[in-house]
Amino acid sequence: MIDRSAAPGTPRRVLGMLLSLASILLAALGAFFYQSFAAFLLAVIVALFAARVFALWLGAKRAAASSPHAEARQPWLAPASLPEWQGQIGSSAFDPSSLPGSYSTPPARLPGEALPAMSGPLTGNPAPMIARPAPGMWNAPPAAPAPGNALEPAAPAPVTAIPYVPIDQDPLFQLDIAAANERCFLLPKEGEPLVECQDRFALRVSGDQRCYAVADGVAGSFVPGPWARIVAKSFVERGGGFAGIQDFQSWLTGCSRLWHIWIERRWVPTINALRARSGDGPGNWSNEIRQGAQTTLIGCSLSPARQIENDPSTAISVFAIGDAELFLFTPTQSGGWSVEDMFPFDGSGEFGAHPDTLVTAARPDLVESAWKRHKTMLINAFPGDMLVLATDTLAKWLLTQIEQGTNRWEPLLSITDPGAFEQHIRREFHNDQVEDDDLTMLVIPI
Amino acid sequence: MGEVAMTMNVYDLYARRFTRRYPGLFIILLDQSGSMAEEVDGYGCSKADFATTAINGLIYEMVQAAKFDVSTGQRRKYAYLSILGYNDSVYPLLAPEPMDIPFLGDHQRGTIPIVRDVLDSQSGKYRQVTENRAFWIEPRHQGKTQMAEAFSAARDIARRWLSEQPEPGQAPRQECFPPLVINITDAQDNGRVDPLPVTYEIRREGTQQGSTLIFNCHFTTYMGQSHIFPGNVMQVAHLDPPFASQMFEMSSVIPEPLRQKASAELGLGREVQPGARGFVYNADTKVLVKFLHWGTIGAAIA
Repeated sequence: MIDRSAAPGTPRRVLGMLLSLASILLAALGAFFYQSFAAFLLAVIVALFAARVFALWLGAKRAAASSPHAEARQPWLAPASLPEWQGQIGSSAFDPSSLPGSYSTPPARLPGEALPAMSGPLTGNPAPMIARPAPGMWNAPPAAPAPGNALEPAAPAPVTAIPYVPIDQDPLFQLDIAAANERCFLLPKEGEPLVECQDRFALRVSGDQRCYAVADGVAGSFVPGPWARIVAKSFVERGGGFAGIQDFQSWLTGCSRLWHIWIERRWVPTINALRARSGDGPGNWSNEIRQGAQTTLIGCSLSPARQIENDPSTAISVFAIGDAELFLFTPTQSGGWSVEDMFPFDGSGEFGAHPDTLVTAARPDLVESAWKRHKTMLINAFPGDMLVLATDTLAKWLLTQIEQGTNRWEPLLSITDPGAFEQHIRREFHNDQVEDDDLTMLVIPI
Repeated sequence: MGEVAMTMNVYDLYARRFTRRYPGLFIILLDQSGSMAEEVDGYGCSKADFATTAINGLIYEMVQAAKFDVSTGQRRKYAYLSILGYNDSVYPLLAPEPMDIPFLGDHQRGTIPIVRDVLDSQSGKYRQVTENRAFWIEPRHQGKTQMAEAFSAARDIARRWLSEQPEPGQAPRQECFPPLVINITDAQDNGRVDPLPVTYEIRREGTQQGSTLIFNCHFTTYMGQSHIFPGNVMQVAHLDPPFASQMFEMSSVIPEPLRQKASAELGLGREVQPGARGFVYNADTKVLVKFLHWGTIGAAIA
């Protein structure tokens, strides 16, 4: 991010000073030679505003000269010139007072000042981050903190007009209710509240048409949980599937718009209201919002196949971007289950650290890239079969168990109680050293 | 491994990720002795400047890795950081006690211009981009290298952090990933006390997840081969004896979860063998940056 604040002595500041003085002079002339009371009043108001601008200019000029950061610059000069180094011989572990500019006491909380953003990726791949200081940088005065970033307690921001409603009461955090004997399990990381879970699911049942989706927000992106919910919900609302890239682009753009609107009109004001209650100023997440959120998605739509008369099978159309997985299990004669199909991965080794995702940045190149990476499948299922949608960590564990020929996954198909599900899965994951992650599983009976 | 880890299943060790429930502690020891004034070839700055810039960049990445809670808009407190400078004395470069990463994110000391080489895909050439970047610590270079005292200070910081009450919502510190001490130095220790015993002392302590780890990085301006993660002392015994051997002995064996990432993170092109130490001798600028990233963010984020 380029620092655009004008430093003292720059042409802009000089011009500003001259304009403020000229305004004061003209306003004074106007007040002296006024023709009517209104003109006199106007001249006084102009003079006051001009005087305030001039006073601000004066204040900024003084602050630049006397800022504590001006002192902090001194260590970047030759150390021998620093009085605090004189006589610093011998050792004394932990002598914080000898280091000017260090945090001797934690500074008061600053207004939410965003970190200067790393440059967004320029065209092409950025080189490895071997950033080096600009020539002579450490000998030059650093950029002074932006105005309002002084190390003093910020005045509490005025409470916004929007009453604070906890974000977890927002409709985006509501969970869809099972409508056709589905079992829906959503488990955040151990110790985390459900509101912070970045997995989401959605379902829609309309007559004999059913649609389900599971989305896994990428933890490294910005507020991915709501994005995952928007994507999953929008997918099921449209009945799943896309006619082509334009249809996909239109849908994704709509989702992106929803997310941005929710962020700007709901999340930011709510969080700022929360910060105001704590005495903090408003936050600035513009960089993070611009970088946006990411999520994987797997969705399926179910409808009677009706390929032949009295066909009992169900046609399942599957759409996937990323590493959430679909399993189709069929019951065995011995009362257990066998794996009929799995999609998009056939083996646990296919899971990687960087799955394909859908992003909130609705750029044509990103949309095209996502479309190229999507996968689809058509399968048929029969009454008694069980369809499972699962996010990556659980899916990988399931696949591993299947590959190893264990039946440790089978109880998951019959558990109905969320508490029992959590107990079972956490025990299994602990035994297998599986990393702690958000988990989602939809169990859909055919 | 120290006594702390003796009762653990070997596969449990160092498996825990850094989360707000199980936060971690990083302690960086930065040599700020007079020899750090030497210029780094090709960069037009001193070793102190480069190392300080690298650490400031690392702090920035650590802040960025702390994602926002959707319910509060606050960054997640997944780790604490302490940075000690040392030369003739040892002193904190951030604060006397470790600071959490979100707090550092809100309290940078200012911005400085940084030059980055970025590949322009249209032209296929690298071009320099100057951007302002936050900084938290400043460079200096004076005096000798009192490494033992630096490690003593790190030991005390780690002990206090491990014994203090966790914050609300955090698990007991003994259930967390053990502290990680990273020492960046360019020279031999020429202090009054041998640092080896105190490093043994540090590594005998830790948490249920394993012993406190010590990684050492010898940073140099000389264009020689970097010796990265040696498996036995004989691989470095001939280098600047006995300094390299001493640093080898001061370094922890790389835990399995970190060992698996080491090759990719440092672009080694070879597997890091089991039993290799977290030690780099004769690291150049690229290796230093990658080593810092691997030893901190690489450890924290699976």
